[in-house]
Parts: sequence; structure tokens; C-alpha cells
Amino acid sequence: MRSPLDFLRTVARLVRADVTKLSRYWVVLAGFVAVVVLAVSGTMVFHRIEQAANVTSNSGYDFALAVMDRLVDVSLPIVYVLVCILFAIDVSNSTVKYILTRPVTRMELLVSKYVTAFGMVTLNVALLWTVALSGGAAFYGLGDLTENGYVIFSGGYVFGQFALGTFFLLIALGSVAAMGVAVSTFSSTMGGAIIIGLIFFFMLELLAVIPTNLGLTLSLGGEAFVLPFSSFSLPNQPLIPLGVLGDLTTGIAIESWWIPPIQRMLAVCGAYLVLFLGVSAFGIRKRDFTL
Amino acid sequence: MSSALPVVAEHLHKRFGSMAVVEDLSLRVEEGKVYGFLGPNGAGKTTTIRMLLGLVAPSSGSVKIFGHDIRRDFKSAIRCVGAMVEGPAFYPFLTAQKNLQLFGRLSGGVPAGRVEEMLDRVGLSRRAGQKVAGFSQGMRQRLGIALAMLEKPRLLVLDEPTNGLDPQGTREIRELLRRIRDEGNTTVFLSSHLLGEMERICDRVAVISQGRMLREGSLDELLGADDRCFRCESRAGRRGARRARPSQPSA
Repeated sequence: MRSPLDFLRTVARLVRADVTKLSRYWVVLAGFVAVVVLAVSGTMVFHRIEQAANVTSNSGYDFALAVMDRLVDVSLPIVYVLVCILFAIDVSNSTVKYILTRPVTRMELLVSKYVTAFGMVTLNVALLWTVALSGGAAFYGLGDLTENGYVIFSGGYVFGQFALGTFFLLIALGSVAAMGVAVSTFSSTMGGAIIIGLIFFFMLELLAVIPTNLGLTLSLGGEAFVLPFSSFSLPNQPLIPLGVLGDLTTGIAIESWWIPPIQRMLAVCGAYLVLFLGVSAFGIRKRDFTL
Repeated sequence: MSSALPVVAEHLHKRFGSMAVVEDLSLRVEEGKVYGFLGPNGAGKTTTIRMLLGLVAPSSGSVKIFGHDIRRDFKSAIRCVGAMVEGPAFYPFLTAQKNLQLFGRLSGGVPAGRVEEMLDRVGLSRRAGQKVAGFSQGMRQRLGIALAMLEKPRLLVLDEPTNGLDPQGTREIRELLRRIRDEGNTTVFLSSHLLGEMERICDRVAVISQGRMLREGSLDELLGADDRCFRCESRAGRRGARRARPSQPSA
């Protein structure tokens, strides 16, 4: 019987090998360079637009959040594509055959890919926040949140709420990354993984255009409510915690993060996560990677 | 457990749908020997090797590596094995050295200097810093053997290691395998469709065709058998085949 510690050790070794490999693969490096270039140029362009339109953000936090809102949307497909090739890179180079003839089980390999994917998403968010907050600090400053000289929220409180928002943002982005890993598990070529991955990505994104009055009518505690089909749009889930943070920068305190939009986001992301985990676990068990 | 045989496969069957690829195949490989697995393309050699390594599950039958069941005790079984299945596999964007280091970490790392030692052993130490993408087929095969031997396996499984090589490359691989055999620490399980290759290296040979084991024994035993049967394919037809083995008019 294998111990959980042995499982974790093997997963850690696999993740380390993935990091070593990916940090030397030009496609992945180019992807993250593109994210940084987009983030920096996007921040600059956003500030220019503000100047041209004679509008100003309320604060550095407000500016950073507005920039972040757009950057998450733009960078997500890039990072998602990189996640899509995580497994395919091993299958297309046939290195998966070698990995599976080492003391590594298929489930350990799968879990390591999920950990690497979440790591890539976290790195993406860290890069975006760094650029967005740097822009906010440079153009407006990042001290206490004030209005007419009065302190509304201390800088520590705002950063604390931003950290909580980032936690929920990572859950949403993580479930999108899980879709990439699930697609990758079934792919034999990197091109195929990217194409199929993007088809799923945009199909799920299209759900957002369905009018909100269309949905599933559910009954909870005798009370009927409609769960809109549009709320199943996975790529749009990351915008929900950023929307909650938007209230904060306009001076409205966040009393609780346990609010219906976040609850719905967690339910949708959780359901997708379970689905993708199940599908990829089935795939990795059944697939003959040696063919 | 250390006295257990390197490979014991019993009554292996493998079916893909309704097609039987391997049927009732049993093997026993003795320690320190070079065991040849000979058969034409499509005979079921690679499928058998996949089953031996736990890459695919047999439809029925069992495989034990040094006494460990490959399905039930996979990690203990596979820890003693180094393998190259269906040609070498590397990340082309990494150097030869980095590839070996990276794969060496999967089992917890190899001792310092082991990667360089293996590269030297297969004659690639001068190419250590070169990306694998620029390697010839022969260099890749040699690097594949270096990778398979990286963790000093007690059992080395090589699936057609000379496939696609020119005569010079084939000779290099053969020399390398001879050296491994002469050291005597490693049992080698070698598959090929070339009888000549087996003749030069192997202590024992199993002949497989259409998923069934036809014969098994030392080459002397196989070639000296009274009821031997050769299938000779010749463009010159029957007359050419007879000319090829004049001492066997019934061939």
C-alpha cells in the first residue's frame, strides 16, 4: 500500500520536471512574454485613453482593477493554450512512454499536470497584478483609499480584500485551466490539443450571450428561481470576483464574500472542475499512450 | 526476493476488440543473460513488451519482474527496469544532458556524474550540450540506451534498438550491448525482427509469430533442432530459396 506522502513526493518530482522542461520551451516562454507585453502595453494604452477622454480613475486601486478586468480577459486564452499542450507535449514527443515506465502511476502524472496548470495560472495572475498595481501606483498612487481627504479604507484593508478576490479569481481560472488539462489528456498532438481546446473554450464563452431570462427553473425550499444558461459560461467566471472588488474601489465596503454571485461562481466552477477531473482521470486510465 | 527471475510472464493474452494480438505467451528470463525476442513485424513483440512494462494491461495472464507483480506492485517492479519502447523519446528542445537529468529526477535523482558517465559510455559526451532536435537517428538511439541505463537497472528492456539505423549505427549499438552483456550486472531483454542481430548478442531467443510463441531456447538449440522449419521469402522464388540453403532441399 502506497502512502500519501509517497504520492505527494512523486507528484512534486513530476511538477519539478515539468517546470524545468517548460521553462526551457520557447513556446511557453513566448506565451508568458506575450502576457507581460500585453499587460504593460495594455496598462499604458488604458492610461492614455483616460487622458484623451479627460477621465480619471478614483484611485490607483480603481485603475489597477479596471486594467486587470481587461487583462484577465485578454491573457486567459494565451495561458489556456499553454495549459492545453501540457500533456500533449509528452504524448507527441512519446516521452510519456518513458515516464510511465518509471515508478510513476498515471494518477500521479495527472495530478502533477493539474498542479502545473494551476501554477501557470497563478503565475499569470501574479504577473498581471504586478503590472496593473504598478500602473496604479505610478499614475495615481496606492496608499489609503480616500475621498475628499477622508480615509474610506486603509491600504491594508484594500490589499486584504484584493487578496481574497484573487483567491476566488484563481478558483475560477483554475477551473478553466482544468478544462485545458482535460482536453490535453485526450490529445496526441499539440496542434490538436490547441484546436480542440479553443473550440471548447469559445463554445463555453458563447453561453454568456444567451439572454439571462432563459435558463433552468429550479425550486429551492419551495421558492422557484431561474438559473440562467449564461451563468454556465466558464471563461467569464473570473470576471465575477473582479466585479465584487469593483464595489470596493468605489467606496462600498465588502461585508461578505459569501454572496449569491460568488456562490453561483463557486457552484459552476466546482461542477466544471469535478467534470474535468473525472473526464481526465477516465482518459488517462483508458488511453494507450504507446500507440 | 532478489533471487526471483528478472521476468516471469505466464499465459499472457492480449486482445484489441475481437483481434487477438498475443495468445498464451509465457516467458522466463534468467538473470545476467541477454534474452532475444525475435519475430516479424506485427508478431506481437511490442505489445508483449508493453505488457511486461505495465504500459498496457493484459487481457489475461500475469507478469512478474524480479518477483513483483507488474499490475499489483507496479512501483517495486518497475524500479528495477530501464526501458526503451518503440524507439527513443526525448524533448527535442532540451540538450542531451538536460534530458537525462530531467528524466533521472523522476525516480528521485541519479548520483552526481552519472549522467556524464552514461553520455560518455554511449559516445555522446561531446554532444552533451547539444539539443536533441539536431541529433541523428543513431545518436538518438544511443541516447535512448543511455537513458534506459541511467538508473543502473537490473533489467534492461530494449524494443528494436537498431530500428532505422544504418550498418555503422547498428554495429555501434551491437557493440554497446555486448559491453553491457560482458559486464554481467544487467539482464537484457531485446526485441528484434533480425535473426542476425540476435545471433550475435543473445544467449537465449524466443521466436514469436502472430502472437504465439513458436520456440524458445539458445540459438544453438534452435538452429540445431531436427524439425526446424524456415520460411524463406525470395524474389527468385523456390529455386532461389533452395540455393540459399542448399543443405536443406526440403526448405
